[in-house]
Order: sequence, then C-alpha cells, then structure tokens
Amino acid sequence: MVQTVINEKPRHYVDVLKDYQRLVRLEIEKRHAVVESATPLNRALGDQIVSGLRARYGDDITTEFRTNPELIGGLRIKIGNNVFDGSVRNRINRLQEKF
Amino acid sequence: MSAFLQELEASIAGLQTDTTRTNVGTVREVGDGVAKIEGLSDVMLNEMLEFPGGLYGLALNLEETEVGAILLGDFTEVTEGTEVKTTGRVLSVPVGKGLLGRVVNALGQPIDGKGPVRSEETYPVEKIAPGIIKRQSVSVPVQTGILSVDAMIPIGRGQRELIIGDRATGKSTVAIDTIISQAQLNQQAEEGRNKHHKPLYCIYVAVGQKNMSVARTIDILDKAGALPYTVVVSAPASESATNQYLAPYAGTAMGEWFMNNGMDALIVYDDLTKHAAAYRQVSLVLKRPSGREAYPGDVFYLHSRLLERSARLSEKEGGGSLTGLPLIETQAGDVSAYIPTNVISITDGQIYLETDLFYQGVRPAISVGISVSRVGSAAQIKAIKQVAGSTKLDLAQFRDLQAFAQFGSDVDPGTRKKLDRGQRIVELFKQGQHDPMPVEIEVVILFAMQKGYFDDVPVDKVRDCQGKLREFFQTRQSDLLQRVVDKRAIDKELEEGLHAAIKEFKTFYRP
Repeated sequence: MVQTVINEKPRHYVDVLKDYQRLVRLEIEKRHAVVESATPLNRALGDQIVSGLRARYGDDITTEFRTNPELIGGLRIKIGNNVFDGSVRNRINRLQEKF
Repeated sequence: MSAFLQELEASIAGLQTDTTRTNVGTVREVGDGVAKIEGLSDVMLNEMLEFPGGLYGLALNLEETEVGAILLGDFTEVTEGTEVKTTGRVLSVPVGKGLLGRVVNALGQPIDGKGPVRSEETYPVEKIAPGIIKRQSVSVPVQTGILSVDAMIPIGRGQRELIIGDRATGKSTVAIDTIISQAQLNQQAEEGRNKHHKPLYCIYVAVGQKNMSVARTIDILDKAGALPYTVVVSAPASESATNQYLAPYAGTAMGEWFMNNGMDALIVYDDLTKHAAAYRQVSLVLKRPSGREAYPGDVFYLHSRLLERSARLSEKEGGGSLTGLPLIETQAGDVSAYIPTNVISITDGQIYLETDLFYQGVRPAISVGISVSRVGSAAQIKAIKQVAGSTKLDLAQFRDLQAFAQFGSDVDPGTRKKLDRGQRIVELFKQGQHDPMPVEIEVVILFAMQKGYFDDVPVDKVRDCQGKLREFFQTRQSDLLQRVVDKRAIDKELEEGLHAAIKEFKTFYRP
C-alpha cells in the first residue's frame, strides 16, 4: 500500500506517509513491553517474565530488557501507556510523598 | 511518641502493596505553556498530569492519539520525550477561613511571604453550579457603601452584577469600595453594633493586571482594615495565560466553600476581558478553531459556567450565598462588542461607568440611565426603599430636562424645581474613593434629600452640607443612627426624630 502511494504521489503524500508511520509506531508500541531492572536479570527470571506477560497480554507481545541502576532494586515494566512499577526507587518516592 | 510510631508503621504498611500501575505518555511538542503528549490512553478531561520536577499540567484536549495539556508553572524544563503521568485527580485548590487575609496564586499557593496557608480542605476548581432546587431568590442586600448604587442599583447577596466601563473610569474602585464596606460592616457586627448583619467575606481575583496595581490594591485593603476578611487571588500579566485562565475558577472554588458552609461571600473578577483574552491565547495555541474576534466557540460558556456558580442557596442547603461582581473593560464605550454583550446577558444587571461623567467630576461615574439591577428593590432594606423609591425617576427626568433646558433660560417653575432637585441629587451622589458610607448615614442623607432639606443649599455647597450633616449625626445623634440600624425601617417615631435632628442641624449650618 505504501508503495502505491509513493508511485501515485497524491497531494501531500509525504505528510500522509509520515502520519501513517506515526500511527504504525504507536500501534507497535502498544504491543511492546520494556522490562527495566537495576541489574541484568538472569535467563530463568527473564523467561518467567516473558511467559507471564504473554499469558496476560497475548502471544504477540515483544519484550525488551534494559538495566537502569537508578531503580536500586525491583522491576519496572512498561507496556504501551501503562507502567507497572515495583522498583525500590518508586517506593522511596511514594514514602517521600506520604510525609 | 508511640502514636507517631503507629502512624509511621501504618504509612509504611500502606506501601506494602507491591507494584503501582500508572498511565504514562511522552511529550511530543511543547511551547507557550501548552504541551502535546502522546500516549496517556486512560486520561480524563481536566485531569491533572504530573511532569518531572513537581510540575503539573491540565489535560484540556483529548484527541485520538495525543493529549493537549496546559502547564501550570515553569515549563522551561519540559522537553520533547519527557515522561508524563496521570494522577487520577482533578485540579483542586485549598479552601477555608485560613485563606482570609492571604494573597495566593491561581493554584492556591501563597505568594505573600506569610508562610504556608492553613487549610484542611480542598475544592475542585471546576464545579457544576448549584441547580434550581438548591436555590432561593435573592432578598438580602450587599451594602456597597456607595450611595448611588445602594439607592438606585441595589445588589443582593447571590446576585451577579456586572461593572462595565472604559479604562480608568473607576471600575476597580467601585469593587474595592464594596469590599471595604463589607469589612466595616463585619467589624460593626463583631462589636455587636449591628445584629442584622451576617458577615460577608470577600475574594478579589486579579487577572492579567500589572503587579504594581495588585500591590496597590492589597495596600488599600490592608490600610482600610479589609484584608482580614478578604482573599486575594492574583494571576498578574507576568504569569502564564494558563494561570490567568484558571484564577477566576480557583477564586470561585474558594467562595463556594463559604457558600456551602452557610456563610456569605462576595467575589470580584477584575477583569473578565483579560480572562477572555488569556483563554483565547490558550485556545489558539491548542489549535482549537477560532470564531469571532479569534475567540474560541466556547467563550460564552467560559463565562456563563463561571458566573452561574454565584448563587443563594436555600435554607435547607444552609442558606449561604456567593455574590459575583465581574468587571469588563469596554473600548470607547462600545458595549456591543463580543465579550461585553456576552457578560451583560449572563449577569443580573450592570453598573455602567462613563468617561464623560468621570471628567465632569461625577465620581463614581455611574450612568444611571443604563445601569440596572434585575433583582431590584427586593435587595434593599425597608428604610432605603422608603427614602430612595423615586430617586432613579427624578434623576432620569432631570437628565431629560437638562438637555432640553440648555437651549433656553425661561423654564416654568415645575421644571425649574425638577432641575434644581436633580442637580442636588447629582451632587449628593458624588463620593470620595475608598470612603464607603454606612447604611444608616445613607438613609439620613436620602431622607433629607427627599424631604427637601437640601433645596435651599446652593448646588456647590451640597457636598459640604452633606459632609457636615454626616459628621453631625455621627457625633451628636448616634442614638438615632443606632435606631435606624436596629429597626431597618422608618416608622412614625423615627421619622419625627429625623425631622427634628435635621432641623436642628439646619439652624446652625451656614453654607
């Protein structure tokens, strides 16, 4: 379809394609999970997380692992717009807010 | 100590819930206090958004893939890619008596350097106005202390009265004098000298004004002793347009607290022209379609939903009230411009101030012909009704005849009498600024005028005579004044007393 648009060159076709690209990117991001941890996770735990996410969100979920020392400990998982934060950093922040 | 330990344990226990779920988005574009944010799929309209570094935003535009939000505060740290969180809360401001005597910004944060605001409650900034069932009609007056307003354009508690006029015609002065008058009445009631007066607290919302003007207003209120009964909400011209847009709503939320708790409050919006301009800016930056004079389509709703929140609640709801005094600045006296017509149609009457009158020395420069109060004499005490009933008509006739009499010197005695009376009424209604008149003095002066006691005083001496009469009553006839305050109506006995006192005054007054 993209090729057809490029060949036919309708008015504002570059903008149309850019917009399309953005929508596709947002759609992919919705099915992409980013798992952050303070230290690199071992393979078994990583597999466990991936299978857990697949059980919950379906098999087409893509997963990416990152390390972020700022978290101190625990996990932070971002899927699309939702963030599940179980990190030590988040708990400290909440404790700070409570006071 | 153990109580503190328990509290600490409880709050730590509250954190044991493993993970938190938040909805996030990323900033795609930012500028002019407005950010476009991608993501935030669960956001609600008017929800607060949390930016890093304690900055908050407000979601105003919800689109298919992105959210348009206004930023409340310093947005220089926000860049493309900044992560934004939803909070699940709507924007709220602190409310309560702890705010009295304070100067706060549009978010209710103190800016007067007097430490934190003592307040236990918060109210949402946007709230739906009370419905029909909850209301009752307006019947209790707001004594403005401005003779011409109290006599001819009475304002009731729960009413919305627009103050409209060109620049520098004394609009703010009318509003500030009203606030000062309330403070004096509140003090009088606290000292037990006026058992009929229910305290009226004031909120002054300054939108888009110069910092210097706001500082001067605060100084005037402070010197007049009115600050302890007043909350000042300030969003000066140096603040972002978003804060200027929010300030009137924040002030109204503070006023609603008084109303919902059975108290009376008065709110001054100074002024709504600048508020509309600030909202226009926000709307244009949010790329909302613009209409007449580039204002967005919902600029009417902007003001109607704000002013509808002024109400007088029924006794069942506590009987509190919120009176609204919006100010509108016109350009060269044009009341048919977009924003003035909108606000005129929303309010229950208007006080129109004229440049010509102002420069003729008639101050406050109220144009009686087109100033009205749709609540009318329901919002006057009986004594004022008795003495001011025909004043507006007398004055209107005078204006007609004045134009007519300019062409010839020969007028019949009836017309001459009306002209003379009219000139004296105009003189009597001249009043210095920040010098509100107590209602009992108003009654005495209007009584003397109605009974013709000023008719033999030369026109240029009327103000002098009025001042001396006031002084005479305050120093030598304070019992009589107290009786006017207590009875609130002129009966036979009081009438005789007033006649006798004024006659006594006239025996030694020499113009």
